[in-house]
Amino acid sequence: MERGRANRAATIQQTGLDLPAFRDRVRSIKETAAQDPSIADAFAEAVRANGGRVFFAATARDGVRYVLDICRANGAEFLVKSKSLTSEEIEMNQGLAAEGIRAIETDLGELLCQVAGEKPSHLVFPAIHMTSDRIARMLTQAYGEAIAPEPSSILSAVRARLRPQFLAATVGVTGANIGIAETGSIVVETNEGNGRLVTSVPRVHIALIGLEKIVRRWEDAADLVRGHAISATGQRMTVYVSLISQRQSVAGDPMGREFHVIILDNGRTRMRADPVFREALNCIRCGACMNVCPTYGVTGGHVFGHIYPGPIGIPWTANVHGLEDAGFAHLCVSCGLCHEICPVDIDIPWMIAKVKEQDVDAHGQPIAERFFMASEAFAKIASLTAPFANGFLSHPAVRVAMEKTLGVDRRRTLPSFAGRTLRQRLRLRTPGSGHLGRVAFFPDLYAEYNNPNLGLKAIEILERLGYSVRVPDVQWSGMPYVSYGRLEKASKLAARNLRVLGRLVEEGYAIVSTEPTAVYMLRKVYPKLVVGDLAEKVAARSHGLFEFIEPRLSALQATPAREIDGFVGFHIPCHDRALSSGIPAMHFLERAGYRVRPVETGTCCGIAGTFGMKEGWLGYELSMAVGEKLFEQFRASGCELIATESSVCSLQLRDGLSREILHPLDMIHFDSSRPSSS
Amino acid sequence: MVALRDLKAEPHAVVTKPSTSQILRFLVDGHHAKRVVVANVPSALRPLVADGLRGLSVQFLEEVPSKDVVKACADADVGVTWAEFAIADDGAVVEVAHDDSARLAASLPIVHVVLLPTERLVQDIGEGMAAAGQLLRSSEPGHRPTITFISGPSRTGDIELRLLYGVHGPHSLHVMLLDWYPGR
Repeated sequence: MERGRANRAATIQQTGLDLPAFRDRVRSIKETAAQDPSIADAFAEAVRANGGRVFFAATARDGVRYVLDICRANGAEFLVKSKSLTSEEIEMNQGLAAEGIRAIETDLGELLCQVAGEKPSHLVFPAIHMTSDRIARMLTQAYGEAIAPEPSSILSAVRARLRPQFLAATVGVTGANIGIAETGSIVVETNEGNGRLVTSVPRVHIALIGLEKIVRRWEDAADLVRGHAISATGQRMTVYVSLISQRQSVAGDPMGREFHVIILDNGRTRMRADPVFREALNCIRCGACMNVCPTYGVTGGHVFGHIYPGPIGIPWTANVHGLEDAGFAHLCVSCGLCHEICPVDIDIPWMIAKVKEQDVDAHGQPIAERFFMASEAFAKIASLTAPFANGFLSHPAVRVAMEKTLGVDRRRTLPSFAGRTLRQRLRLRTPGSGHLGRVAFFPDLYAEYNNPNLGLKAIEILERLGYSVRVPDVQWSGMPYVSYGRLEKASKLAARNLRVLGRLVEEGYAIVSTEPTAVYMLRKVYPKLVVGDLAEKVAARSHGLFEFIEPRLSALQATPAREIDGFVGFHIPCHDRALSSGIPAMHFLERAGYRVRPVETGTCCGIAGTFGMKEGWLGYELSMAVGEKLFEQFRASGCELIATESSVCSLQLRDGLSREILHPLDMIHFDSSRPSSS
Repeated sequence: MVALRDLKAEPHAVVTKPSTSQILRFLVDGHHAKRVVVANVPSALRPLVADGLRGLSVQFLEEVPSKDVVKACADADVGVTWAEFAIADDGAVVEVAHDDSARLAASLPIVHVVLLPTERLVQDIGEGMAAAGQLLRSSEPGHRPTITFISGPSRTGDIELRLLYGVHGPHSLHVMLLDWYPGR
């Protein structure tokens, strides 16, 4: 089930949920909740009016201390607990253990982690890394009775083992998915039913809630409840959604039952004031970002996480636990998919880029990353000296040396360089006079230095359709600066490119590129690097080639350059998922007469720009491990040709599949006669 | 009913008043149950429940000393409770508890039978959420009910992402849809 991705898609379709509208609503609810301090005060007042007690914990320590005091006041030597990531954040179990009080995990996944002495590896599926064989062996040893490696035996053993502890517990601790200020209520969502027992059997219930989780009204909470279930596991609703406002009597007897709510700050107020990291407070902890993250999928949460795992775990860790614990930021490959899937539209990639920036400032930068950030200078030299450079760069001894000195993995095929760049070749050409409009073609590195033919073909198509085309004096788009945390350099480069492009846009030019990453940078990243109207204006006029020509495809007389019986397997580059998801490029091929099918895992192919060119595990090896599922799907698909728009994805597919990978423009011919252009 | 089955809950239509006792008995016998706890069921329905469970050990929790309630529920094979309303599209039944005996009876035994008046079905989750909000808001501070949306039996995906039922809460959830209720 791909960590819930397939279920999620099916549920969204079945319920006819208007996802973009829902996303906007959830976002505005969370933004208010995260930014307005008066909501927590109103919540506290309402809890007290219902007879509960409230404690504001400024730090993790304060929170643990309060739980300890309550246990002592009630003579409890242990407590039962249902899943609460916030309690993990404050390391409550350890803090209590140091004072002689045991916290017993009752969520199956958390319990398994506790028995194994490991940290949870996923927000929603904490024991996702364990097999049933291993679980059975572990429990057999821990419980001293034979347990078969069957899920049903494991379940009965755990049920039987935990029951007496539930029944004997005086104190129960839960997290809270949501707090509701108007009625002083909390929402506790569980699938296993342990939350029901923890909040009904013990005499004392302590709920721990981060202050960003409190919303004003029940209607706000209702939307979040739906968001949690769909995004986390693809359910319509979590099995038990409990709305708890106070303790209830038992058979008419109040029995001295207590309700405590700990509202935790622990760095949240500071995050609230930070223009970048305040975004993280919008998280609803559904885990969708880790379900889609390519490198999390291979490494799991023990590697890709500290206490908060996965993509959103990076900014959370840096802020609540500190930069030293957030080193796993470098596992992020900047594919941007976490932002695309997030039900609250949180710009996780941008926060991660900021954490990487702080990290390289504090700890320095690997040589390979410095090399790839100099890609443009390197391409210029290599292109000037091609074909010598190509022979040199493909020599095994040179590759070994490059690996040792520059950290470029010797196993990775590198693109070759063209002797004459796109701009040099265009000098000999007379530009067409377009009646439809003017286009500035943004070549980026690949269409300039590696494959100018691709650039020429794109320009030819644009001219045939009736545009006049020029290649402006821009540099490359500079994605590696963002991937490797050099945001100052990225901003400088963006500002320079924007000055050139801004003037052109003023003159009525549209900006078009064949490289999805370049379009992604222009549309999504430059406006963050250089805040203001200029970047917004350029973003609004930047397009992928196929998206730009789509309305006029009927005017193109294109025929297939390859005769095939089967179909074309199409790979959608991650950065294009934020733009057009490859749809216009697939239409383009279909229009020319091909049958096209996307072949996809829903996540990255693994190369992620230059990440998969870096030497060793944190590069080539991880990138191939991520790609394996996609390679397998391509092999099993029976496709006859493979196409993708991205220059780097095509390197990855070639290395993974040992097959020819085509750009859609390589796959068509035009009729020799020019189409009538009016 | 389809929505309930999708959630692995078992729906049972109860068309006439007398059949309430018979169907309840049939369900309880199907699980070879000996001990049953009942909570939160409207007083008008209690004789029907008692009638259906004749001969078994049955405890109406309202009549049990408070200190013995948890043990009674923990020892029972079946808990019978009441749903205030339910959501037709999603199969979620909604429990409204002013006393925790209802929640204990619904979560400690391995089998949960919930009685639901068919006329109180609402169509979709939006309506269901609005109804819950209404209940919550109209209650006074300090007298607010605990409201729980229950979507099928207890489940977990924690072992190899396989869906398994009955980890802490009930393994089986039977929903008796009382078509006849409130009756004339």
